[in-house]
Amino acid sequence: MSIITLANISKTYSEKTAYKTVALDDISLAVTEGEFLAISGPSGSGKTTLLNLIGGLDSPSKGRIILNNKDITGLKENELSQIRLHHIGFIFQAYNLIPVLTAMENMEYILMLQRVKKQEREQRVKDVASRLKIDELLHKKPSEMSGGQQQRVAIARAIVSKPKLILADEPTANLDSKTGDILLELMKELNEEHKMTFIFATHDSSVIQKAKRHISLLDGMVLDDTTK
Amino acid sequence: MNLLMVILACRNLARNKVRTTMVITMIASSLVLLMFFQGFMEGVIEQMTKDTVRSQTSDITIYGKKYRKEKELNNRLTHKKYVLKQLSNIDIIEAHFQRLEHDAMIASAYYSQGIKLVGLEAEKEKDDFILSTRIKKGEYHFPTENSIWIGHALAEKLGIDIHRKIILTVQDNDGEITGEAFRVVAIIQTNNPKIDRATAFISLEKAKSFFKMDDITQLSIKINDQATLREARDMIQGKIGDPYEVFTWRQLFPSLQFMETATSSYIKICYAIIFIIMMIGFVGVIMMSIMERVREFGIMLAIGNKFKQISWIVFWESLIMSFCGFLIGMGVGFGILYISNQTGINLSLFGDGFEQFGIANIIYPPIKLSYCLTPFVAIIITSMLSIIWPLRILYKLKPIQSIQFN
Repeated sequence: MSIITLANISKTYSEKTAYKTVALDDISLAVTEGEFLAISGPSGSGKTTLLNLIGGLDSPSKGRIILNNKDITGLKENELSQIRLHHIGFIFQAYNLIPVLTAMENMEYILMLQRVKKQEREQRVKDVASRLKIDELLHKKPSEMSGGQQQRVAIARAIVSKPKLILADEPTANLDSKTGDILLELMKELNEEHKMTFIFATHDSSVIQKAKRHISLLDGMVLDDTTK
Repeated sequence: MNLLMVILACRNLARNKVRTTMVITMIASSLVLLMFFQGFMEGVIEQMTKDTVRSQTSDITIYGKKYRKEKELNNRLTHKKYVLKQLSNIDIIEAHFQRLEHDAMIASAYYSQGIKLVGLEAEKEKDDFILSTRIKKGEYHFPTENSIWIGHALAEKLGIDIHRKIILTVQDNDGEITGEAFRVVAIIQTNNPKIDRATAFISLEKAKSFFKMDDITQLSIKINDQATLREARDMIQGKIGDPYEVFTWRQLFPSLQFMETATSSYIKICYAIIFIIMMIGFVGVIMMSIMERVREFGIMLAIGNKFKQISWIVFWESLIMSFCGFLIGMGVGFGILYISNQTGINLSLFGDGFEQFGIANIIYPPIKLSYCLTPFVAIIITSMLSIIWPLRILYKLKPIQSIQFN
C-alpha cells in the first residue's frame, strides 16, 4: 500500500520573474509503507525540495501529493501541521533540536503537542532512549552534546511519536563516517522492526548502499529509480 | 499546553539574560518615572487645593444672595439664627464656621495698602482650616481684642514683624470711616498668594464690633462625606431657600477644578507618550529576538507546532518581561513615593519662585493604588501590540522558508 503518492509534481521558484528556477519537473512516484528509500543527486537536483514537499513544509507549483490516501495539496498550514505532528517524523542535517530543552524534553515535546498523557509520555521516551542508547543524555541540553549525540536524540525525537513516515535530509552529512554508519544501522533496524518508512535525501554513498530503493534526481527530474 | 509555552518562554528569556534584563530595566524605570511624576503632580494639585480652599472656606459655603457678585456688607448673610436652625436638621453636616470679611486699609510706618480683613472663629477653625498649621511666626490665637494675623508677604511690604503695631481703617456698616491700632501676633504663610500678600485676620467678635454689625458674610460647612458634596449642597440650598446662595468648594474655585482636569489630562498624555516610546523599543527587541530564532520556529512548525502556539510563546515572553518590569517598577516606584510622602519633596532646592504660583515649597506626593491600574492595563496592551508586527513577519513565511532563513 502506498504511503505517499506524488502525481506530476513540479516546483518552480520565482515563477513570474527573470530568475525563474525549476526545482522539480513533473515528477510522479509512489512510496509503499516500510520502504527504506534514498533520493540522491547533485546539489540543486531537487532532492531536498522533494522531501520538503512530501513533508508538507512547502507547496508544489503543480501536481498532487497524496499522503495516507489523503490529498495534502493545498491544505492550510494548520492542517498540514497536524499531519506533520501525527504522521511524519523529521530528521535534519543540522539536528535542529530545541536548544532550551533537554534531550528528554525535546522528545517529550512532540508527545505533549499530541496531548499524550504524562505517564505514557515518560514510558515512551524511556523506551526510545533505551533503544537508541541515549539514557545518559536525557537530562543534557543540545549544547552539552556532541554532533553524533544530538543526531541520535533527533532520531529519537522523530520516532518517539511512532510516525509512519520519517523524512531525513542529509542525516549523516555533519557526522564522521563511523557515527554516520552506526546511526544508519539504527535507522535500518527501526525500519525493519517497526515497518517505519524512511525517505532520505542524501549524497552519502553508504546511505545509498543500505537503501532498498534508490531514486536518482538530475535537474528536477527522475534519472533513475531502482529497487534492490 | 499553555504551561509548556510558558516554560519555553521563560527558558528563551533566560537565553539572553543581558537583553532580558535591559528590557525589564527599561520598563521598570519608565514606570518609576511615571509614578513619581504622577505622584508629584497630584501632590502639587492636592497641596494647592488644600492651601487655597482650606485657608478660605470648607466643603460648602453659604453667602447672602448677591454677595458673590458684589462683596458689599449690604449683601451679607442675614438671619443667621434661622439658617443655623435649618442646618441643625441635616445629618451629614459635621461642623460650621462663621466668617465676616470686608475690605480694609492697612498701614504701617512705612507703607499702606488695601487688604481683605477677615474675622474668624480661631478655636473652632483650628482643626479644619489650615491657618493653624501655617503660622510662620507667633501663635495661633488672639490674646487681646486688637490682635491681628497677617500674611508674610504683606508683613514684608509693611516692613513689620510680630509684636509691631499697624493701623486698620474700614468703612463700617453705618458708612462711617473708622480706624484702630492692632498688634501683630502672628505671621502666616499659606502658599495662597491672596492670603500671603493681601489678607489680615482678626477675631470674629472684634470684626463684628469693628464693622458695627452682628451678621456675617460667609458660613462654611464641613460635611462628613466628600462623595455627597453636590447632593449636600442641593439639600442645604433647598432647606434655607432663595435669600441665600450655596456653593461647593469646586464651584468657588473653578480654576482649581480646571488645573485638576488639565493635570490629569497631562499625566495621561505623558503616559501615552512613554508607553508609545516603550512599545517602539519593545517591538525592536521582540523583532530582534524573533529574527534570531526564525529557523528554530521553522523547526517547531515542521515538527507539528501550530503558528498559534508559536505566537503564544512569543506573547508569554513579552508578557513575562513586561510583568517583571511592572512589578519591579511598582515596587521601586511605591518605595520612592512612600519616602517622598514621609519626607516631602523640597522644591526650594530648585529655586524660590514656586510660592508665587501658589505651590508649596515642600510637596508630599500621595500614594494611591490607582497608580498601579493604568500601567497594568497599558503593560498588557503594550505586550500584545508589540508582538503583532514581528509575528506578522513570521506568519508570512512558510515553514521551509523559516528553516532556511538566514
